[in-house]
Amino acid sequence: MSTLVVGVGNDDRGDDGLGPLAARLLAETLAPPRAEGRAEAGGDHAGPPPGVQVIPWTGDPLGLLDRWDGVDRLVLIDAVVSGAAPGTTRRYGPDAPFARTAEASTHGLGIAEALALGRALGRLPGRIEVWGIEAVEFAAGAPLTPAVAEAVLALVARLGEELGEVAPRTAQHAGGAAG
Amino acid sequence: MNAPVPEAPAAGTRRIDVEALARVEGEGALHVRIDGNTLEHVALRIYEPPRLFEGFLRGRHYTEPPDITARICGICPVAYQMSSCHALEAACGVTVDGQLRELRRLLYCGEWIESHALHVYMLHAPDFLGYPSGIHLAQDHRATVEMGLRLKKLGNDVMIVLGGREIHPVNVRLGGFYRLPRLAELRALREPLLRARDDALATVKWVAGFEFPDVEPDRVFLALSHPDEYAINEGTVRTDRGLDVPVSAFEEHVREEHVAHSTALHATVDGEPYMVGPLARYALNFAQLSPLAQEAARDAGLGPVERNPFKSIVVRAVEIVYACDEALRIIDQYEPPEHASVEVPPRAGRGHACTEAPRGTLYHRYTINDEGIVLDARIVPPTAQSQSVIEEDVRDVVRGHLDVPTDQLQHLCEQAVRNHDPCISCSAHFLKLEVERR
Repeated sequence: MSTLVVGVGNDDRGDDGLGPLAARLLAETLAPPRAEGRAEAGGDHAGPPPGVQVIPWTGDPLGLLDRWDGVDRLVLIDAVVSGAAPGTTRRYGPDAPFARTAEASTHGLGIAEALALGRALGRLPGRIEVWGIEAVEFAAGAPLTPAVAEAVLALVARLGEELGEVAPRTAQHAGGAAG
Repeated sequence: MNAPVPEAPAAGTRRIDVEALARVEGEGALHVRIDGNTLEHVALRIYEPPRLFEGFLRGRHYTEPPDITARICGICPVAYQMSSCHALEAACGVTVDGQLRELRRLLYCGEWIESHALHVYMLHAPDFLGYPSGIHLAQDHRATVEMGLRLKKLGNDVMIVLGGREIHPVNVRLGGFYRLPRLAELRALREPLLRARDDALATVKWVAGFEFPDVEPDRVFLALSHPDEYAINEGTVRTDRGLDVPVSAFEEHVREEHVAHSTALHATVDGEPYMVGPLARYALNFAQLSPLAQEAARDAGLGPVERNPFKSIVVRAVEIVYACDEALRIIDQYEPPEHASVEVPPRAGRGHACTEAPRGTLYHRYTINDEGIVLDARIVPPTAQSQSVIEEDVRDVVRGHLDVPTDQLQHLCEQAVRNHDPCISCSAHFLKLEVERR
């Protein structure tokens, strides 16, 4: 069972940078203490548990289609705008009614479009969860809104615990913790 | 256009907001005001991070701009890296040539293929086929869209081999690269590139069969031009009105002025609005295209100059053919150079460079001191240069469709903007359109 975690966003655009930031923090959380016990081939340096890959994604979301090909479980972390309080964190399924408003944009497509396109082409992982953190500030060069930063830390802790726990064990008894 | 049945709009003032919230809220907006049967006003409002980046760059070490400016755009980081490298190398009096130059060109080909494939398949083609988006297109034409995505991935793969990764390549530095690609890595691109070239030829055929509105606006074209190659990373600044000057004279001819409705500046060349991008490159440099790309263009019914902005989709497809061809040429002739980069010692001076980003000419200018500190930076991105012409195209569309219902008019306006492939973050992000009728 392979898991891919992707934090999507633009580092230079305020709260939109929450995705890549969460991915970097999560990778750090998962990596260092687990390094020594596991010296498998290819594992030349500390990394997340086997079967788990965590990447920040700051470019064209459509490129993710190729990254998630063959992955069993996909975890996306992204900024959302729903009108909720800043930092509100929600977990969505792949069928959540994201507004695909960028689909007819002039240039570039978003995560919702990447998911929809994956579905249209039959190229979606079996399990998908989208963690959305409510974002408010998108100005160029702006820092993260404090409530958003807190939400990122909380989500990283939660996913870190879950992935750190689940991933090594699923090798033995697959099917692991759902829900 | 496939003339929609005109339906007189309701009397009175109508104003419609198209909320185009996406990753980052719409910084690009198009405002159209119609009074009765008269078009009053068209304003494309675009947001321009490069201005902000010019500020970031002052005081930085001269080795940093290639990486910093690459962050301006997630779609064309290579263009920013290349323009900044060349400008800073020019300031230091260094020329990077031979195989290192070829490898840079190969990296750039990857970006062209990737960016053009995205635009042609996912953004532009749906307009011609009556689909609201590339996703809808994929539902009905799965194999076609898969071909587009395969092309896009190949472009990414080229960028990964040269740049280290596909987003914001980390392997580019002043003087060349941090690490040279292994011969085997380059050779492994050969087969996929051959397949991609076939896909690109099929793409040209496919898009050439679309129905195009019969328009031929007379716009000034500006692009780099080089006697020996289809200009991508080097050349003189040329227009189809006779200008042909070195890049260092760019600012003597191109002027930018503030307009009230946009953070971007409106550019003119020798006093006239102009456009950059595939149509301009193609018109000025048709003779330098590879024979195969020329043949594909002819078979697609293109003349050596094409002025219909809607046909930019065909020209983009032809440029994908060229980029595949050129990438193959570079790989086939490649012999590893001795070093991955040449020394670029700092010296006080000023350097200029233009390269051809997928959507048009991208100008960088830097002034550095003898310690290599950046004193001044100037970036002129492609979309800002074409902005006046994009507005003019929208005006033409609106004038021709004043009696069309607002939602249809919106779509037509969006298409007119989309023809120019405006950049995601260097200017129009996600377009928000307002049509106001009185």
